[in-house]
Amino acid sequence: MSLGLFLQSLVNAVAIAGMYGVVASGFTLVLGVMKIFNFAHGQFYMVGAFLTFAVCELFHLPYIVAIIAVFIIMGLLGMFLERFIIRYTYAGFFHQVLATIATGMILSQSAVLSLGKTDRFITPVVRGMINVGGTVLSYEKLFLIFLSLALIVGLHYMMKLKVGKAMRAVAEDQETAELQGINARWIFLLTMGLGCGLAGVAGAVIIPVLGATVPMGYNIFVRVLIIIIIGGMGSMPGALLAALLVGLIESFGYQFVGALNEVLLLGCLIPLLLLRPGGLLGRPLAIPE
Amino acid sequence: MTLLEVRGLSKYFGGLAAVDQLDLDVFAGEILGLIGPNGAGKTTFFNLISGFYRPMRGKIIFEGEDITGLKPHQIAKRGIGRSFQLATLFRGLTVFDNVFIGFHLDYGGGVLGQFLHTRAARGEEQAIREKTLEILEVMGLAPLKYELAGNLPHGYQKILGVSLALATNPRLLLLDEPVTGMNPTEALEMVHLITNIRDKGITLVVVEHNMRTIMEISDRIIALDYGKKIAEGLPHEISENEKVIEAYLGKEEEW
Amino acid sequence: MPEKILKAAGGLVLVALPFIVRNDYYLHLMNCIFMYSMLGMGFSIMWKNRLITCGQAGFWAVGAYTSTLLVMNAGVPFWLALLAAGIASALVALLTLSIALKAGPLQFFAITLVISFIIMQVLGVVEFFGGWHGIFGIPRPTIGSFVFLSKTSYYYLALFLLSANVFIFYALYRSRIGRAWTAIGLSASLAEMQGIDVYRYRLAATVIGCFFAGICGSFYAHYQTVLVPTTFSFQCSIFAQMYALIGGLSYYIAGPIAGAAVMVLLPELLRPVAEFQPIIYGVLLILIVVFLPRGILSIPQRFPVVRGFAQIGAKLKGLPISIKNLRK
Repeated sequence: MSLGLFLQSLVNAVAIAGMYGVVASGFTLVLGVMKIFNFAHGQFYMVGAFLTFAVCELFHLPYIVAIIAVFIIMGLLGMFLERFIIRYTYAGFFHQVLATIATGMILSQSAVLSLGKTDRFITPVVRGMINVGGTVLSYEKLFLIFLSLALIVGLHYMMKLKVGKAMRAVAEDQETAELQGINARWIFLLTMGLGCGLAGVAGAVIIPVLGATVPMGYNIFVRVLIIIIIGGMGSMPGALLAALLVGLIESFGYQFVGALNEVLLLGCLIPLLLLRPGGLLGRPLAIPE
Repeated sequence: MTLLEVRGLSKYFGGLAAVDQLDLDVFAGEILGLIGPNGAGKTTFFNLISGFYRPMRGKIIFEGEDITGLKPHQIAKRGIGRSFQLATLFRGLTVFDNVFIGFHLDYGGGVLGQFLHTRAARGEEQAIREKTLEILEVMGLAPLKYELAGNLPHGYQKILGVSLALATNPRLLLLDEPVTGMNPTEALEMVHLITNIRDKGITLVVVEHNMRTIMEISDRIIALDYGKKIAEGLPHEISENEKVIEAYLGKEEEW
Repeated sequence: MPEKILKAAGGLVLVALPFIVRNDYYLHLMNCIFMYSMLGMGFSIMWKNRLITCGQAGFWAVGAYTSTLLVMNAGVPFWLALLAAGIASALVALLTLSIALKAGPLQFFAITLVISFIIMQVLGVVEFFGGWHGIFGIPRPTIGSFVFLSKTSYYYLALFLLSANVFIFYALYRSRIGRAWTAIGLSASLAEMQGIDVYRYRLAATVIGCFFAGICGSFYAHYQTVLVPTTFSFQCSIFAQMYALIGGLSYYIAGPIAGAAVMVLLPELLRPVAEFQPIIYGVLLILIVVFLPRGILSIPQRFPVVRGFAQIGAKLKGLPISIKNLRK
C-alpha cells in the first residue's frame, strides 16, 4: 500500500472515527447514566444536519451560529423527550425502546415535512486541499476531524466538572448518588440534553462533508450499536476506542476487501463477545426487566 | 451410613479461602448443624454442594457417587435439595404454583405425551397436583395456597422456600438459615417442620446463627471458621468447646 | 361455555374472512399481520425464558432464502422447501446461539444482534444469494397441481401456518416444558435448583422460535416473489419485539398477534392524513406504551365490563394453572 493511499485511508479512518466517536459518546452517556437505549439518537443526528441546512442556507446565518443553535435546540428537545416521554416509561426496557423509536419517527418525519426528502448540502465552510508529500488531503476532512476532536475533548473536560462528576456518580449507582444529595431527576434531564445535543452537533459537523440524507439517522444508529457492543455498553472510553477501531476497519478494510469489510467487522465481533462479554472496556450492563 | 462425603474441598475468591481443605461427613438420617461466625464459609459450602460453585480442589461424594463439578440441576436430580437464606421463590406465582412448578423432576412420561396433553399426561399432572397439596398440608401452607408468593409474610416465604426444596424429592436437604428473621412463633413452627422432615427419612444439614435452635434440633454439630472445620461433636460438647467460643467471641473483639 | 363459543366464532370469522371482505388489499394486510405475528411469537417464546433476541430478522431471512434457493435452483417442491426453511433456520440458531447461550443472556442479546447483521450483509454481498439487488421471479407455492395465485389462497396458507404455530406453542406452553420455561423466566437460578436444565430448555425455546421464523420466511419469499436483503434489517428484528410489547409482553401467544394487528392496521387507518401519518402513528405508539404498559390485551383487566373476555385472553396467554393470579 502506497504511502499516499495509506495517509488518505488514515485520514478517512480518523474522520469516520471522530464522527462515530461523538455520536457514540452521546449515546453511551445516556446509556450509562440513565440505563436507556435512546433509539431516537440517530434521528437527533439527522435533524441536527437538516437544521444546520435550514440555518445556513435558508436563514443565511454563519456556520458557527448553526452549530450553537443546533446544540441548544437538540439539547432542549432531548430534555423535552426525557421529561415528557421517557420519564413515563421506566415501566420497562421494551417500553422505553418503543417510546424512543416512536419519537425517532416523529422527529424524522418532521424534518422531512419541513425540508423535504432530498439530500441537502451546505456550502462548505473550509475549502481546498493540502498537499502532504504527494498525497492530497481535503481541508474539509481535516476540519471535520478537528471539530470532532474538539467535541470529544470538550466532553472529557465536562466530565471532570461538578456536573460531570454527578453524572458519573448516577451512572455508577443511582441510589447512592441520591443519598449524597445529587438530584437524579435533574441529572437525567441534563444528560439527555447533553447526549442529544451532541448528536445534533455531530449532524451539523457532518453535513458539509457528507450532506444530510433521510436515512442517515438510522444508519449511524446501527453503527453506534455495533460500536458500543465492541467497546462495552456504558463505557465512554470504550466507545471511543471502539469508534476508532471501527473507523480503521471501515477505512482500511475497504482498501483490502472492498464491500466485505462489514462482514469482516461483524465476524470479528462474535469471538470478541464470547471472550470479553463486556466489550473491550465495559462492564456488562444488566438488561432491566 | 455416610450419605455425603466431602474431602479436601477448597474454594478461593481472589486470594481468600472461603472453604479451605474441608473434610466432612454427613450420616444418613441425621440432622447436622453447621455453625460458625459470618464469613466462615457456610453458605459457600452449601453453594459448592448444590453445584452453584465449582470447587477448586476436593471431592464431593453423595450416596457413593462423585458429584464434584456437576451442574445444579444435575445435583438436584440426584437428590440434594436446598433452601436459601433470602427466600428465593417464583415471585409472580401463587404458593400452589410455586410448588407445582417445583415438581418438575417428578414427571416420568415422554415429551410427546406432554405435548399432546394425552390422558396419561393429564394423569401425571393430576398426581403432581395432589403431591403439591400434600406438601402444602405438611408445611402448613395449605390455607395460603392461592396467595401470591411475594405477598406472604417473611416467615411463610421461608417455609415456602423449604417446600420448594422438598418438591425435588431430596434425600439430603440443605437449609440455609431457616429460622433467621422469624419471630419466635414462626421459628417454633419451622423447628417442628424440620423434625417432621427428618422423620420422613430425609437427612438435613442446617446452617443457623440462632444457637438455641441449632442446639435443640441437631444430632451433631460441625463448627467452621475461615473455611476450615474447627470442631465436631454433640451439641453440648460444641457449646463448651474453647475453639468455638473463641471463634465467635474473637470476632467481636476484632472491633 | 361462553369462552368456547367466542373462540369458535372468532375462528369462523377468520376462516370466512376472504368471503366477507372481498378486497385484495385488506387480505394482504391480514397476510402481513399473520407473518408478523409469527415473528413476534418467536420473540415471545424466547422472552418467556427472559432471553431478548434482536435477531428475528436474520432467521426470517435464512428461511426465506433457503426456501427460494431450494425451489429455484434445485426444483424442490414448495412444501418440502417450506419445511427445509424452518429446519435451516433452526440449525443456524442451534449452531450459533447454543454458544451465545452458554455465554449468558447479555451475550445472547448482543450476539443475536450481530448475527442478524451478519446474515443481512452476507446475503447482500455474496452474489449466490442475489446480492443487494436480490432475487426476483420466485415461483409461487404449489401443492400438487394447485398454484397459489390469489391473495385469498395466500390468506389461507398464512392462516394455516399461523394456526400451526399457535397450536404448537399452545401445546408446548401448557405442558411440562412450558412450565419449565415459566420457571426459568421467573428465576433461572431457582429453576436450576428445581432440577430444570436451564440451558437446554432455553436452547429448545430458541431453536423452536427460529424454526417458525424460518417457516414464515419461506412463506414471505413465495408470497412477495421478490427478496431483497434490506428487508431483513435490524429494524425488522426490533419490530418483532414491538409486536409482542404492544400486545402485551405477558401474553405469549395472543400478544404478538394483537400487537402485529395494531402495528399493521394503525398506519393504514391513518392513511388519510398522508404525510402526518408517521408523526401521529408515533404519538399513538407512545400513548399506548405509556398508558397501556401491559399491552393492548390488558384492556379487559382494566375495565370490569369486559372481564369475561379476560378469560379468553388468559387461556391464550398459554400459562399454567391459576392463570388469574399471574401478573407480571
